Amino acid sequence: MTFDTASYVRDLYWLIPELWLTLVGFALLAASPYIRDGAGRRIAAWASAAGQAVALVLLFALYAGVSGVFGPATPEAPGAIYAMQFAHGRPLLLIDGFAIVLKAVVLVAGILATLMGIRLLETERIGRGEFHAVLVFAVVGAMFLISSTDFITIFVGLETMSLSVYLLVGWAKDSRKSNEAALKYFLLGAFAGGLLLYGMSLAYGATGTTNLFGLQQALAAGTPESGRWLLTLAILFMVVGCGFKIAAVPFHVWTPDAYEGAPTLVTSFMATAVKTAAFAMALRIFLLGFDAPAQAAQWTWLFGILAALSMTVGNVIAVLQDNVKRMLAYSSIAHVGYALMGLVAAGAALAGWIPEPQRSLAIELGQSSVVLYMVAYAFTAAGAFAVVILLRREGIEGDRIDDFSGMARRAPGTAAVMLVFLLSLAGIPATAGFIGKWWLFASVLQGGGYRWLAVLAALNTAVSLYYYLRVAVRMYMEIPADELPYAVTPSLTAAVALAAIGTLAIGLWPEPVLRLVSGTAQLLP
Amino acid sequence: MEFVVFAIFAALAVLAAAGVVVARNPVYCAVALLVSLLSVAALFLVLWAEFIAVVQIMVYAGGVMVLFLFVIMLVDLEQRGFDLGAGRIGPRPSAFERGLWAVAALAFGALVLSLMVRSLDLPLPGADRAATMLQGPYAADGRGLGNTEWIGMLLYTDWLVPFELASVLLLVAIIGAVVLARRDQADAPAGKGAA
Amino acid sequence: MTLAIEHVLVTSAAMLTVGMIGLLVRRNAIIMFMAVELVLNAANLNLIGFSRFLPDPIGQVFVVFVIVIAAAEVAVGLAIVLALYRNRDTVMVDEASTMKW
Repeated sequence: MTFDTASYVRDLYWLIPELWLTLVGFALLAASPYIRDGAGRRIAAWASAAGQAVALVLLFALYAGVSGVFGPATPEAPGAIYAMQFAHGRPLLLIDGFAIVLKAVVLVAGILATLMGIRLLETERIGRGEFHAVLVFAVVGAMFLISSTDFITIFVGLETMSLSVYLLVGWAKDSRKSNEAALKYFLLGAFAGGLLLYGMSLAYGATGTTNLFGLQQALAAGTPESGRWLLTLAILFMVVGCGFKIAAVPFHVWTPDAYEGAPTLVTSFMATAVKTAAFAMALRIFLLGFDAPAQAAQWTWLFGILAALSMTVGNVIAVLQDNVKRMLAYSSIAHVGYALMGLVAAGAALAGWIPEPQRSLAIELGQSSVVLYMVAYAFTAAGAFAVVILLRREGIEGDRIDDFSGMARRAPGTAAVMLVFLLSLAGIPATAGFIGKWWLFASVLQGGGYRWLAVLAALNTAVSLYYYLRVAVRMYMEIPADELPYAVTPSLTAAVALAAIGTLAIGLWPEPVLRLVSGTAQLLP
Repeated sequence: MEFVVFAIFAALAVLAAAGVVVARNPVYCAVALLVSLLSVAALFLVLWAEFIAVVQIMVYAGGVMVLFLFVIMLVDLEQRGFDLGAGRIGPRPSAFERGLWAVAALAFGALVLSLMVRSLDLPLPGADRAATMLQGPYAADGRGLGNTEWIGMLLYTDWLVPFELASVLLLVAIIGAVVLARRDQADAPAGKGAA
Repeated sequence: MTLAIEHVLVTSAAMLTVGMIGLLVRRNAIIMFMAVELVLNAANLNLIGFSRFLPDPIGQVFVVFVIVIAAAEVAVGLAIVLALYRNRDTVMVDEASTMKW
């Protein structure tokens, strides 16, 4: 409880990307009353994207300044570059490879969402300057959450992000769909936050610490017989809370409505940035805090069930959808199911169900495959949503699958790029989605009794091909549905191009990303 | 003595909470919620958290409750008069459905409770440290710190960064609430019905 | 009888259950939201209870943050309810009928 100014300043040095982004948010907020016309709003949007891009550069500048691949190990947190803000000698925030890669994903997702939405915000007449400030603050919250290793910082970061996103979902306040989406998302999100908090309070009671490292140490020291049930309950509540936040079945009921009702750029942000941050939270809590075998055994099978349900229910219901945004919402639920396989594989290894030669490999592979999948999915999903935005024109909602009809004839380039995104979502080779899925399959095939998840995922991939290709068939085989020109703008083109480059680059030349991602594995201790 | 006070307020808190769920009229619900939250504040006092107790009263009774009542009045009174109870408008879940949900939740609560009761002999360490908790740690000049002082010390040293992030969160909430809640004049949509 | 952690746990579990019932049974957005507040308060009660009996002050610090966040959440939630109300005449969640599953 002593305050050391020097170490505080040192801590702030490592938070420069977040601090810079907060300043960008303040600046956007301060400028917003003076921005009245369309040109001013476009400039604000570009400024917001540029501010986030600078934060991305700062992030990698910090990372490049560190010697070694991911820096020296600190005694408090082996594998981390920097641990900061100690309470009772344990870090509240951690800067490690895991944090840097996932923060970069969140920033890229934020930039893509900002760029793709400039014209959309005008069409929907919701382009008030404050929009971009709130979006930037959501990114700040997500970045904090990704670094957090203490229940308190996790909760504050999570709520900063969630609160901003509730607002963004409801931003089109003259649209009933947007209102309803915001209300549903808000009620269930707040409830999920409450359950998560209840779980945290029980874990605190059982171990006397809110810190994940402290939790890990307390569990390693052996849990007293009577605290065991408290911990079981804590795990149960936290799995449910995390399940809501990452939108896993059966806690997904808010997802399709929120995704459909939200302005499409917000949908893209939710599917990429918010999901990434929520996964980071789940990985930190369960792989770092609850890594003792007895606890891992409990949460692993819970997540195994969630994974199986999510991929099956998500894919089957996605087949039935006529609305692209809803289809992509269910598809994103299915993808949560796939990504959970990595967590389950790591959990099975932690629980001791995988014998030693493969054990450490399975833990590493499980962690890094989730990170890799988040990277791959962020580019792919953002690209798909950007193409959906292209179809939104004055007077045309543009979110039905029929609206894709004849796109190949009208805009062959865009149709080809959309095809790439669809194939990547389905996990076809030469795309990012394939690489991501490959690692997830590899991790779960290490053993530990969850090989059946890989089989199920393969079956589900076949189902998903049907509805992804249905969109492709519309694009290539049918006549155009309308004659109104697509809402092409330079910024939207830039967003689509960026997403396409990312998707193809990871798919065709995966080596750099794989190296980056495998470096994150040993960093979640 | 301590136990008696705790039991009284605990019963009050839970009963008032039940009132929130049962009452028809949203205003009654809000008042029941207020009673429940104030009882919780009293429980905090019994549990040696004076500062939190005061914050609870100020934030909930002073802020949250006013907001709730304000919105209830605005939403319900504007067009339809006072007594359109919570469940009166539109279709509500059938009695059977509601019963089913209530039983499910109760069963879950019973499960939680029974698991907790199995933890009854919690080995919470340190009756020896209890005195520190009551008086706070000692400052450099040897005088004990009060509860408020202690929380303040912790908040502004160890927990400074999350504290600062919380200020960003409040800013977002203020801005967002104003944007969403106010009626736009200048920015009114030319043609409604956009998505 | 002396006060012990069990009593706190029983109280908080009861509040949690009531809050969950409220969320599942009621269809008025404002009241569902009140139920969420009950859940948060149940968690706070746990934290404060453990903070006394552990004993350890961090639970109290946690509760300060939770109360701040809950207050911010109320402002946002009620703003969303108001926006919805402007557009339609009811605040019943189930009547959010434009959307199906």
